Amino acid sequence: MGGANQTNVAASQDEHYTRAIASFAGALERLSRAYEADPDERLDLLQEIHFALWRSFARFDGLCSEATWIYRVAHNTATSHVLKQERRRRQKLVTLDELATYRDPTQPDPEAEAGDRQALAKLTSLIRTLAAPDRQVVLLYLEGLAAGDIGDICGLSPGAVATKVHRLKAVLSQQFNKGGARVR
Amino acid sequence: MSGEPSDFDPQSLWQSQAMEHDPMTLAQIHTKAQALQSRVRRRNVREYIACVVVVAGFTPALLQRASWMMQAGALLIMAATIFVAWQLHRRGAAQPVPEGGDALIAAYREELVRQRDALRSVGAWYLAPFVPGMALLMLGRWFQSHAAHRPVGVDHIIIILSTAIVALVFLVIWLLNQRGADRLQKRIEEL
Repeated sequence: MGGANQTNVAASQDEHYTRAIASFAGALERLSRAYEADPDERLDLLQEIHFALWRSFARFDGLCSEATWIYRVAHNTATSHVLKQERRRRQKLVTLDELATYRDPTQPDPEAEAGDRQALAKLTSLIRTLAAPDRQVVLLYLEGLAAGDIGDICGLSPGAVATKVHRLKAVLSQQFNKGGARVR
Repeated sequence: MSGEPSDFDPQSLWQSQAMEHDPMTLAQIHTKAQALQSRVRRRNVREYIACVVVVAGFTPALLQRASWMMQAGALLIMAATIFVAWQLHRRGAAQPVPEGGDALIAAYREELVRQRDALRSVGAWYLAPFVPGMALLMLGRWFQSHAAHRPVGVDHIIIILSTAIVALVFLVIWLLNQRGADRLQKRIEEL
């Protein structure tokens, strides 16, 4: 009986994982890019997230949506990764409020093309300097989630999420506004 | 976003990134799950071997019939080793199954609190268990078991220096952990 139950749980884990990856593989990879700059460690993190997701589905109780569960597990795994790296690299992370005055100390990649690739590189670099709670909100916003869904995943009110998103847009305007472009 | 003063759309830019890696297949996931179980088993074996090594290392002191203090000290250190190994095993249980049941901010706070408490309590469960045994060993050496080939005065100086070094190492470990806990506490308060 116990063996049959275990088989059922494993089959359900596999089904959930397969479904999750079909819909969220791209989002998970983008998330890993936002949490880890080093390409080798980024692949490790991405695989850690995939594995954590699969393991987590053994406990998925359906009280929240699958999407909420997936984003929570992925962000928690990535945040644990950053906490471990912080101890190693002694990197100081900032809040959204501090991001307005942040200056990237790294040299710009001379081979990066102007336009979208450079903008994306800069955006990713800015996100990587953010401390966990703000980074989570920003990434979920960039994935196109509504304020209510972001609040549900993060444990914040929609109003608090809206404030952070507004702050993010102001920061991005400042950091990217060379030609008077507005942030949508 | 090509130098023209057009609207900058960070969401579209973000979501337009191409994937670099294929997701893990189920076969890869199952292999990793088995590898995790093996790693846990190997870690447990290493901990047991470390315990056995420490117990074996202090057995000569345990057999020192001339000094009941050294015998008692050795016994206490063996007991402390087993206790600390059990604590390490309990606290560092194989990667707990990830959860998505809590909102992110609650999970983040919980993780910071867990790490803070582990650092704060290091004195109690990692260092303190060894203190009675070490103290008895040193006292046993001082009062009951001098090195035969050495003048007593020199022996005492060596005991004092050894005790001071051990005390300093314990103090540094404790202070570093308290500093780490303070940093985590600050982050918890900022949430």
